[in-house]
Amino acid sequence: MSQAAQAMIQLDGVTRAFGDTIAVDDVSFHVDAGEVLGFIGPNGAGKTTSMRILSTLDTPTSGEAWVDGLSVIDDPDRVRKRMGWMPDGFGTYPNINCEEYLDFFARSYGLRGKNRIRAIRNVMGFTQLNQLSKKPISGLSKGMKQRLCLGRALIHNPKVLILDEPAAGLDPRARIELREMILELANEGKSLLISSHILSELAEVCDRVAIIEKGKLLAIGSVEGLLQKEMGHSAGAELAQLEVKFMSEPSNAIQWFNSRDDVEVVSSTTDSILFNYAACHRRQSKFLAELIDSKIEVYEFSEKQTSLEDVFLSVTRGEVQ
Amino acid sequence: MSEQKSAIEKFRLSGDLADSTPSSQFQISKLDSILDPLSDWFSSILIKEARQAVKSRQFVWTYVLQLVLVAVWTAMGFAWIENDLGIGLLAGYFTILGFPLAVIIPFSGYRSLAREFEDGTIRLISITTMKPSQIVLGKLGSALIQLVMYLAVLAPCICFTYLLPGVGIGTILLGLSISVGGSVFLTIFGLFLAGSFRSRALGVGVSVVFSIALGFVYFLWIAFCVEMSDGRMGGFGSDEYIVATGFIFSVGSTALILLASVVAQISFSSDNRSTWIRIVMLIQQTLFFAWICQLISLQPLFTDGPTILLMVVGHYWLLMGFLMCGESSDLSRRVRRALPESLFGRLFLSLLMPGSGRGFLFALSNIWAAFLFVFCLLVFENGLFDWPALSDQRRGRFIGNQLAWDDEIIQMVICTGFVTWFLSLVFLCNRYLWARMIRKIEPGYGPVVSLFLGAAIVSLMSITAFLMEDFFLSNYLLSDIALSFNWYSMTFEPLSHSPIIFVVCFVIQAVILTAVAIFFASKDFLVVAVETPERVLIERQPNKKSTLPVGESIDEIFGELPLGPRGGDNA
Repeated sequence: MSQAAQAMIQLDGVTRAFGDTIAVDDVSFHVDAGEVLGFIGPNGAGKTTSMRILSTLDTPTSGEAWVDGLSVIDDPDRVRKRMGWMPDGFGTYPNINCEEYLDFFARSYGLRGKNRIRAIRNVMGFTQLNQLSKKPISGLSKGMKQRLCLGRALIHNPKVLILDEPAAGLDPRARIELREMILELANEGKSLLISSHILSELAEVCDRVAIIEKGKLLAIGSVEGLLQKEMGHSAGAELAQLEVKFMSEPSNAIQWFNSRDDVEVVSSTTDSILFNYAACHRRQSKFLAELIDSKIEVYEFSEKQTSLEDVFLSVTRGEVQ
Repeated sequence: MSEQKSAIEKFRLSGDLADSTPSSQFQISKLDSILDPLSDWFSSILIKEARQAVKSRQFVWTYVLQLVLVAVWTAMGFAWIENDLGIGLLAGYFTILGFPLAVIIPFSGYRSLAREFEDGTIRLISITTMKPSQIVLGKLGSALIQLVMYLAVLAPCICFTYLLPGVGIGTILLGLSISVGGSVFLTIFGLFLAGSFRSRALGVGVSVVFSIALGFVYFLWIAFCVEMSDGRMGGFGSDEYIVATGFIFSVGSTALILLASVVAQISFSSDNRSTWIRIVMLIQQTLFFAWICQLISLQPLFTDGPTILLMVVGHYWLLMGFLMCGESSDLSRRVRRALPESLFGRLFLSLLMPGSGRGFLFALSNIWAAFLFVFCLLVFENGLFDWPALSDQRRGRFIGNQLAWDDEIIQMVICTGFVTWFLSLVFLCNRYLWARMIRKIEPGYGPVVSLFLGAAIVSLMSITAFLMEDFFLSNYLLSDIALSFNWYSMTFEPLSHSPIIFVVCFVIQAVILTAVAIFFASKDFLVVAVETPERVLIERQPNKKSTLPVGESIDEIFGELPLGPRGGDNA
């Protein structure tokens, strides 16, 4: 069986053009069952357009997109049954409470009788909205509204979830709770495609990330893999990036650093120096001792952690269409 | 971490907490559980809208106000009306009923759909398994529920007036049918407006204009009720029958076109949004033909029937043709993959497919079909053929109508010719001059741009004809041309006074222009279906042992997944 047949989400050379503007340019990737793929890129990179295509709201100009083996072009109705989409806006109604809101969408997805009641109860339990079931939506906080919207996307128990900026505007607690819910959903075997600007959040929940800019897919892989590939960073690497902060002007420190052959200065500021040195902790300890012996007043010595944000900045150029 | 674990456990348990019901609400819950399965038969939109409507202040206030007014009017009526108490009371009840039916319900329908666009909820509904037509009909259904609730207040009072002298069942039915039918039509029109003007800024302006228009409609309704109370409503003869059927046909078919347009407006841009509208256009034209035939058969002296028929149809296809010429010719791959494979199927379906060229040819085919139909009608009317089935009296009437024959043929040719010429002009302008501009704006605005372009071309032609007056001594004024529905004839009139060479040149350029337009339109005509991927075809095979059977229900999918959400079981 081919990779495409196994994947829950599959994009094969998808291109979407709006006149002369190419919003998505020959993008291909796949998401397997139970996998969480982070979809990152600057504003206007083509993330939402790709998600709209997968959500059957739009069709590609060329290429194919599949959800659970079904073409989003040819079988949009069946795709919609398998896919839950949470857009960046809330999309709520006045004069309606949480339970009625979920009831409406359960009915809209064709759930009947006991299945509908059970689905609403399950979703309210999952999103912790039970106590607020009779509360008007207009009275909900942003975090609660976001939960409700996640509940709406889950009401028909889809195999695939597409979440567009789910953590935008949420407070830290709500973000943590959302992260827990996402991980739980992935454990249940659902495939998730998540776009977000909060890269630290994505790094914690995503199995892989895809970086897109100007409609082109620039990189895709696990966070660790991308760190290794794009930043040359890995657990077994020989060199590490270290930062030293000084109490006073580091002019004499710079001289000292330049005098050493085993150090490569990357950058310096008025009170700090960033440099590459051996990753071995024993050697680093010795290096620090020598630094202090040379009468340079050091108040911080740390290894700089490379993150997804660094990968993102390294891969993208900040260009929009 | 342990806190998070316990929180997750709490989420799991919370699903069961929802089962607990306070004892005071036990009876209501029991009733709910009995009635709930019945609600599965209704549209989800209908249920949601009904819930929203009955909770809204607007509904509560209008309902209470209606109750108070009914009570006050009943008391006042008995105290003050001396003669024709029944009809007087009935007129008052209809006036009270008219306000929610003519103003509140249509405006609520308009706002209901407009809010979906403003808040972006339309996208959320669209990706459910509901079809756009279900969404629109759900909105209309909720308006009907409100209508029934308002009507329920007045129903006992209206029934009571039947017991009083002067009120017949016909009067009551007439009032009810006009008020209810009018309310439904206005609601559909409101939905159409909401679908057409989606931006918040435009929406405010449209809300104001629409509410003023509804106020005016209510004013007309009051005038009708006053007429009713004065007892000036005439009897129901053949003339009234013709007018009534014409009114019902035109309003009903227009409502259908508006509904099809709303459905198209809320469909995805990648879906086929034109075919149903074109089918309804055909229905509307057929109904109109049927009505004219009925008119001619019931009114022997109505000799202008065929010409009026073509004049109306000409205007209709001019308007619709302008709109269709502005459509984008690009069919999405979803539409193209759904096209029939056979040449024969494509020949017929192409006319119904979206696109500028196909729309132009569709309008052209229809106006010429109408021409042929009217021509046959005239042949029949004037007894050119000695039809044995005709009675002598009928044949005599047709032969006696010989005078109208030549004039009518000329009128028909001029009308059809001008419509063809204008459509060709607008199609070519759309194709070349405006193509780039239309591509840059929202695809939905293309038809509107095209309509304005067409209106400008027709107006320009009328003004040119007016300016030619000095040269060819036509007696027509610009105002005559602008205000007359017979503009094509008036536009042609100065031309007909010009030297014959000018007329010949004009006709030749019109024929060439039309030929060029048809040539370019024919390029779009035969839509080539895009090959469907093999993987999709395999998936669609009925006997394939697939995990995704065709026609599966949502409940089957629901049961397929290994785990349900955290709150409960998924058995």
